[in-house]
Amino acid sequence: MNGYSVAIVGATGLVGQEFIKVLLQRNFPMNLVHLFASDRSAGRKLMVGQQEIEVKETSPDSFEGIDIALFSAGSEVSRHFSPIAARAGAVVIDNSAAFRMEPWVPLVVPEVNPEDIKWHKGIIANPNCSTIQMVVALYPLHKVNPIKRIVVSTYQSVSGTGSAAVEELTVQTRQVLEGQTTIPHVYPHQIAFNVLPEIDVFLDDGYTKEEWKMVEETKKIMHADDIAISATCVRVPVFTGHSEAIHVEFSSPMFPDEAERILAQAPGVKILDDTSISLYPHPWAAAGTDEVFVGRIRRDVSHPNGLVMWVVADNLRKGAALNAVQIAEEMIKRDWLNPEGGKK
Amino acid sequence: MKELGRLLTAMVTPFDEEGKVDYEQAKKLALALVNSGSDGVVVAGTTGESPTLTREEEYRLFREIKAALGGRGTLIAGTGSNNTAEAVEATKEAERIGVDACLLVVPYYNKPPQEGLYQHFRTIAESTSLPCILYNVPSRTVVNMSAETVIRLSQVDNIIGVKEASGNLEQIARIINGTGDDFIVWSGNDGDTFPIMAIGGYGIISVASHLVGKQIKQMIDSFVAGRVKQAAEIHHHLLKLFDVLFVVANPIPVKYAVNQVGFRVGKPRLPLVEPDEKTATLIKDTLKNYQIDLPV
Repeated sequence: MNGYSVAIVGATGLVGQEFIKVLLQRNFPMNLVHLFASDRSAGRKLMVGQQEIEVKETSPDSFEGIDIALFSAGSEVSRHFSPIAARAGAVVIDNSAAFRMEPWVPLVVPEVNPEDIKWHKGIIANPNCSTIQMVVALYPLHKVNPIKRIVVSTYQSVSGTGSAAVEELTVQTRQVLEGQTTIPHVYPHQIAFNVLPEIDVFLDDGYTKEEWKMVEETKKIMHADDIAISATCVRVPVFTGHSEAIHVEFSSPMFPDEAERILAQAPGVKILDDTSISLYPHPWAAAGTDEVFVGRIRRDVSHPNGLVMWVVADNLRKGAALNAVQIAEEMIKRDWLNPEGGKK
Repeated sequence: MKELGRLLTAMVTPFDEEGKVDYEQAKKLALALVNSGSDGVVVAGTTGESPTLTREEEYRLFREIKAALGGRGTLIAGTGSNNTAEAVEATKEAERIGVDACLLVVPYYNKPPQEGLYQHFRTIAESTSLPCILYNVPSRTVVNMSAETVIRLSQVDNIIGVKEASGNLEQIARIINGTGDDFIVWSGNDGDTFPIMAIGGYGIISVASHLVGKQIKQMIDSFVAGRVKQAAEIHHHLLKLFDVLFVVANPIPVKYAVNQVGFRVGKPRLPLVEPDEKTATLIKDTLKNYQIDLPV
């Protein structure tokens, strides 16, 4: 076989479109791509390279003969169709939150825990966007000097919500500039010229689900249950690219130049840090790129073992589509396609 | 005053199998509508089967939908009655709950004269600080509220507009002409939205937007942006659907249609019943010709 049969579920969404781009850009070894979406989008035709492919409605028989199924169509679709796809013999890489915290499902960032792919049972979960970029930047430091505590604030772009939110920011921005009043549709308040400290639903303890994900997913990916983590996740009027201000407490002092040395060697990380020329990562520049960018690396003056940094990545690429494709590549490279102990 | 929006959906009230109000589905539906073109929802209007809802059910709908929407869209409460005192009480309660505006229907059945209408609406408006929208629908209420009465009422500070479903474009033109620039006229019939906007109307309190909200929004946006031909094309395309949704008494067809496209809202309460087989087939066949915007 010279390539794999790949299915994209949620092909018409923002992440679905990014899946197509990333697969092509990386010359992913595929001979066939099947595009699936809800019946509303079925019948639309999308270009995959030079080829025009019709989007079909996702159904229980969509997955016959599929080797790898990339899902990004929301938790409900994943909960329903992922097990069906896995039973049909495909390996599902699921971008939704449906299976991330299931003990039998690996949650993988290839730069951090590629070996977890090995024990999959047909479904591998892709972590939350804001979690991925944080662990890519922190794990190399954690290996050298174990992390005790993380306090993180995020500045997350609207594309993480989907195309309706991108449209909402566009429309509201124009309305505000033209002196009109706005009516929020996607977010609970106006997002143009504003910031909203609410991502996903509120939980009983006062945190949001997004903040909870950053805590629990980080522990699972890094195999580090005892790190104390507190997050504040904030939506900002940026189209693409999530930013994070991360305060880290290590077991012993971690000096900025040492952190910089470690991160300079770290996979998937690029350092942009020269304050004398205003060099640091920012979402406008990070959009459309693959790396996790780190800058503003400095001591946390409030703690002897503390370090602060600013981390930016494209939430649709490293935060979603790229990470999922990297999981697939790793799986192929290490010949881990067949579920452990089972036969296809 | 908070901007209420050009496209508001007169929302159906979902019932469960036992005919009880399904508050979970109601919340989901309100959010789905605001995510598919609607700027807001009118809850417990005629389309929401207000004649067969208890006040307690209506108040709970206002409360739960307000919480579910957060700040998304606008929430307008149907608090009209043919009993002025009762309408005052319902409007005050809706204000306490924190809705954005109330919709007040012309008193039905008891056939008040124009002076009675004037005093009725003025009394309710003066009992609240909520923005009040009048609702003229003579096909249901027998009495037509004249342009003169609406113009007189537009002088009351918090009477901010009218939902006009008389289908009488001359009367509607006289209202627009005789009221201030900030007095808003919404169409009350989907098929009249385009013509009413053409004579200076603002938007629509719609039934069809349950199904084709994005397309109606596109029609309105196109018209406002001066792309009249494009707006007219959308109007013509949607007309057949508009008609079918009123082949028998609203909300019988729309409720059936919303169920059909996969969003469970249950049957209407008696004395309304589900459409007969022939009507049901007509609705189903018509739906096949349209792209449905409601996320299900």
